[in-house]
Amino acid sequence: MRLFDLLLTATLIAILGSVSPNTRAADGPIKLKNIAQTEIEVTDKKGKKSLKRTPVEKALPGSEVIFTTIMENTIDKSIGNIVINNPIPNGTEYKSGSVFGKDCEILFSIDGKDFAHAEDLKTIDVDGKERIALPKEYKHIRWMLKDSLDAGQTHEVGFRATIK
Amino acid sequence: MQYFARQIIKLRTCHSSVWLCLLLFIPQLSWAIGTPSGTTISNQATATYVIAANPPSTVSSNTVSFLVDRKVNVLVAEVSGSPTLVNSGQLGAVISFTVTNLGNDAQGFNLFAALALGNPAIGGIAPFTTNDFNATNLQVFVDSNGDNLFDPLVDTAPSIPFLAADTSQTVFVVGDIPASVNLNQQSVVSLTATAVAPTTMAALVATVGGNTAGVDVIFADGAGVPSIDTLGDARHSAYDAYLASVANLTINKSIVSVLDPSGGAVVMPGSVLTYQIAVTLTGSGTASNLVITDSLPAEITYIPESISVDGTAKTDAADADNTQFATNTITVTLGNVAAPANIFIKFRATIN
Repeated sequence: MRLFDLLLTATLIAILGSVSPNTRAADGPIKLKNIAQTEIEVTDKKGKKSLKRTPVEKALPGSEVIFTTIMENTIDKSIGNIVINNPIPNGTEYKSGSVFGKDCEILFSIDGKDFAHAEDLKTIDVDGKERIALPKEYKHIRWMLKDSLDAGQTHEVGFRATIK
Repeated sequence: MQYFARQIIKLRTCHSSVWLCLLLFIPQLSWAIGTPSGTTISNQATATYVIAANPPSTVSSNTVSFLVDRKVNVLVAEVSGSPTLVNSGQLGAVISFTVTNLGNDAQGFNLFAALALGNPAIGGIAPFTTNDFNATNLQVFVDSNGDNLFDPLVDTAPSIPFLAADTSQTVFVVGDIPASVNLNQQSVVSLTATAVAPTTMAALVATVGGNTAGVDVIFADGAGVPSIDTLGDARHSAYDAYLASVANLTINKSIVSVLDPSGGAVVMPGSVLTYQIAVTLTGSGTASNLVITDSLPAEITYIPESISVDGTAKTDAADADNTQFATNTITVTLGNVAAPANIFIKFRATIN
């Protein structure tokens, strides 16, 4: 009976684990973690309002989601030349001006190949004319960290997008 | 034996141009189609870095993902911004509403029409605030062929079993107007649409508590009429009204006397019939451009110069008086008649 229970529990854990849509990152010297959050306004007992981030709640068209990438240096050496790339997820639209990441050069792309600063990113209009791409047309963001990341340090970058 | 002549009585009243206006003001809404529920949104980042003099390394993040939830949102709106103009005693008067599915999934909608309470109508927005009489026999019908015109033979469904996301449907509320209604009196009615599961019409249940791994159901509707529905209850409602615009008109034609060739009252060839057309206007207000026409049947012959209106003899010729006889048709132009009124038109004819 006990063995049966143990086997049953182990099987249940295994099944639940495989159903989870969130994959684990490969273990290595540098950990890269992606999270998706929504921000809600909370009022404390004194009536003071503040913003609180939670894992995505009420994912409805029109909802705003904060996508954050956290890089962690787990080795005893500093690392440099760090470039982080994150696509704007399918089904969402980048929120203009929402990109964040300290001490980074930030570039955007509409095709995943050519990256440029926002004011230099070009696209072809429906009538064949070249123009500057609109933020809602961005498909990728690239952060180039200016400094190296010291041992044990973390660095956060990210952006907001609205569910279409 | 009584002899009834074939009669054609045409009635022209004002406000016919307003009916055209009601058909033109159909609001056009435009919006982006929302991502259907159950769609997975996922995000994975990559990074490159260098340790000392080593070649660059690459690392990928986990993939974070979540499902798009079901947004239930419905909007009921009246069409045109002004009441439907009716006559006292009118049957089957039609008010148009639109029901719009603003959610991201197809839903069904149950529909309910009701009289507004109170005067002013509770939660009403002008001009739907005064509520003077009660329309009766309210029914709801969906505009099934989408032509914005109520056709009782075609538009028979009382609810909407399937309405796609970001789609609008015209719905009619049909009611009867009591005979005793006066000019400018108003009856405010509401239409409520409740979102339900498509096709099965099963009630929807909002997901309580925090986000689940599956598709949550969220009621994202606004509040309609304050006394009817609230924020986030999967329903929406709006007011519209019937407004009495013209007094009630009845026309009654009868034979008031018979004189046969031998001085009796037998109905036979040669008998002279005296006809009376009684035009009655009840309620209040003015019937404008009122014209009575009567085409006489072939079996009788009109006696020339026999028309009178309220006892005043009239000429057959198209002249300054308001009456004429031409091509076997009597035409009496009464113009604007204020209610209440009783007008008696008489003429004589011989049975052939």
